[in-house]
Amino acid sequence: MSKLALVVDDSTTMRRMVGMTLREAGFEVIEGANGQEGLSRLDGRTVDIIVTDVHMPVMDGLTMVQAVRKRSDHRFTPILILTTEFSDEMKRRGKEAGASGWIVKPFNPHQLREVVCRLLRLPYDPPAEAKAV
Amino acid sequence: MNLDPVIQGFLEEAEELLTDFEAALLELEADPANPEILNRIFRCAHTIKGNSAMLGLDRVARFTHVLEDLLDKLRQREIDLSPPLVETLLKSGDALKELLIETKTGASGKHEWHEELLKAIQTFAGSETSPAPGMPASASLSEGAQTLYEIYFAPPPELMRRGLDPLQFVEALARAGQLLQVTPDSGQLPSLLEMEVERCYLHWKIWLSSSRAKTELEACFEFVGDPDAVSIDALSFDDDGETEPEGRAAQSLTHLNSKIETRNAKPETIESGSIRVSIDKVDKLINLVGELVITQSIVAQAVANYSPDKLPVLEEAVAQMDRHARELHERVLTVRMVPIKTLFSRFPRLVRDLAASVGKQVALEILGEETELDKTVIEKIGDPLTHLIRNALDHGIEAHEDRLAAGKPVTGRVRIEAYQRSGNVYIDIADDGRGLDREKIIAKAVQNGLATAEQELSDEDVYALIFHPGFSTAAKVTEVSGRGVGMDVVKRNVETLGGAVTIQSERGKGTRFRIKLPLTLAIMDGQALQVGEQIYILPLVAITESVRPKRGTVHWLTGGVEVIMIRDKALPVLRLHRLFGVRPKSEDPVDGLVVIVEHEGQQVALLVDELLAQQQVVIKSLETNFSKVDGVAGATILGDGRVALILDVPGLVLLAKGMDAAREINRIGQKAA
Repeated sequence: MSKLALVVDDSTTMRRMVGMTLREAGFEVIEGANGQEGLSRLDGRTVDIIVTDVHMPVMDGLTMVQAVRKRSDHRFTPILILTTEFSDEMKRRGKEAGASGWIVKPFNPHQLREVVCRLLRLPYDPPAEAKAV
Repeated sequence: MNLDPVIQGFLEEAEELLTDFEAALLELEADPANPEILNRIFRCAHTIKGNSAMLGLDRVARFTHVLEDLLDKLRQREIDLSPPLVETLLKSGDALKELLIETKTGASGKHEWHEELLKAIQTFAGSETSPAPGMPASASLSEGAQTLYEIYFAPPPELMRRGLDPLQFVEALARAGQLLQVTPDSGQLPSLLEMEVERCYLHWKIWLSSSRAKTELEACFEFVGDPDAVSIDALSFDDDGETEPEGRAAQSLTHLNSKIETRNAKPETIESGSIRVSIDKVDKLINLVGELVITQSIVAQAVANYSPDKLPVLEEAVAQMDRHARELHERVLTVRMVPIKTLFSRFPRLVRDLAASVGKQVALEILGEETELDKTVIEKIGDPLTHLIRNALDHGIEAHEDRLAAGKPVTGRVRIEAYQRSGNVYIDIADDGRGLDREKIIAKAVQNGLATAEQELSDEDVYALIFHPGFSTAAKVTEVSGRGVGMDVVKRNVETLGGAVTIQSERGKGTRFRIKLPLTLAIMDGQALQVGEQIYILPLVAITESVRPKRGTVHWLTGGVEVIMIRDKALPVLRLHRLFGVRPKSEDPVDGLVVIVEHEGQQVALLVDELLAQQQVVIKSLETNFSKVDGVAGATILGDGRVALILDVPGLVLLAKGMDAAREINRIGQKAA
């Protein structure tokens, strides 16, 4: 059974890219354009991993993470935040909100896949070209 | 940064390898052409060589290097196997053991025979081999450029609340190198009541061999987000990145040597403080603890806002906790259980050497070496078993000519078998030798004042005599089993472990010693019994059945023995209320129950008022706190805080038989004195 991932980003391009990367890795992907939408996508279903942007309109990523952690069925779901800002302050806020990890944009697809697999403890063999990067 | 655990680990592993080395050599003797066995032998030496070189244990490394060379030639069929060669290889194993023990204790004796042995090995190998015994150490270090890291991972407790499974970090490490050992540290684990299921209390100690730099390994832990949670130490050398590989290797070796010297300065024993447990067992334990914690929180919740309608929930949860606790208990016990193979593997060599020294041909058969037994029991049963095997070879198996005269095959057989049956582990040591000589034993006992000539003794009673201190019938004192010292020690050792030794013997056919041991020493399944106001515990395994006596089935026999007829069999009745001086509910057996217990095939009916619940009890020794009481094996504390005595079934059976053989002998012995 394939794993279900929720990708939340206000940029369609980014959503598409992340979505494609994960689908290639065998995931089923659902999407949301902001934190609010992301949360409503979780109604009535459980996802295996959430990948979310931080800065978004309506509801930002960290607020969403906090809200997700309050839901009993997603308390322990790995949540990966995508950020352009790689600072200790950002890490601290992410951790406090309950995020599992972070990836700094821009990133390459292999990196994303590797981190997602690691968080889900799935086997991951990087393709040869990825090792060179 | 501490090298001790690495060396300790090495010693434990090396010891195991040497055991296999020896076992494989003995197999090779019987099957000289088998390449698999040769490979196994080679691998043992090879692994020890590599590890000892890396750790800077030069003497071990040097020895194994020479040995490996010879084994390689043997493996390549450049030289042929011969009995003297096998002998030399076996001796090499012994020499290595000595070296390992010296590493352990920090002693550094000089062994001339090691040098002679090395020369012998080199001669076998065609001599002009291996010019530089000191070399392998540096060679093996520089070629891999691997660093040994010790990593301590203490995840922040809230890690799991962030959706992070701590194991993923270990897995990330596994991709960055080779995991040598992962040891969980449960030191931070709070009591069950304080435990929050969502917090991570476990820490891990990890040994990783990797070519990566420390910073790369640190990156594996990035998402933990707390630099204090991880400490990474390079065990092999500090990576300054400047020096050349050779230089670094040399540097690290000096470094290691100084480490080892400081270690050696404070001699300490590393005797078996640790135990190897399969990951499977640990995982199951962790699962169970998890379930227990969940149920506990259900109970806590139900109690916190209690209303009568919560009772069913509470009852269900308590029942579940009970199940979990029981299962947890069973599984925790299995952690201490190790296969008896660890002990049995010594015996082929023992038998081989003993047989040679007494000039007999003996074939050893070992069965049931997968049988698991408490580690403490295994450690303590080694000496008694060794003694019994010596006895079998020395006294049991006859000399060649005697065997031929008796029409037996020249090769004697000794069989060691372990098996588990109804809560006990049995170890049989059987030989097909001459059997015990009843008359000789009695004569000797009379001579020593242990028995009188007129006494009517059953075979059992006669055999029991040989366990008496100072008893020996061996006309000739041999180097192997010495004189008379031992059988009483064997019996005492086994009894300390809560076990028993029995003997079966047939003249001219052989002797079988059977050692019965409890699976574990601390806890047992008990059946609670009510007698008057008192509660007693019977070991559940000893009970065969319980019945309510019908009127007319209990009879008095002459001599004051009371018996009950059960299915046409008369069993002696022991009234517990009389034995312990308690006022029963009723003196009439028809109002009570008889519980039939069995020990060594003998049955006794115990008269009690009532059977209560079955429960697991923790055994507390009465003797350490009080004194030995006949018929009582110990005490335990019940759920309501009361103390209950645990009945000693073998003792009760003896009491019922009306003759406690051992005491009888003592009495006679004292009279004689």
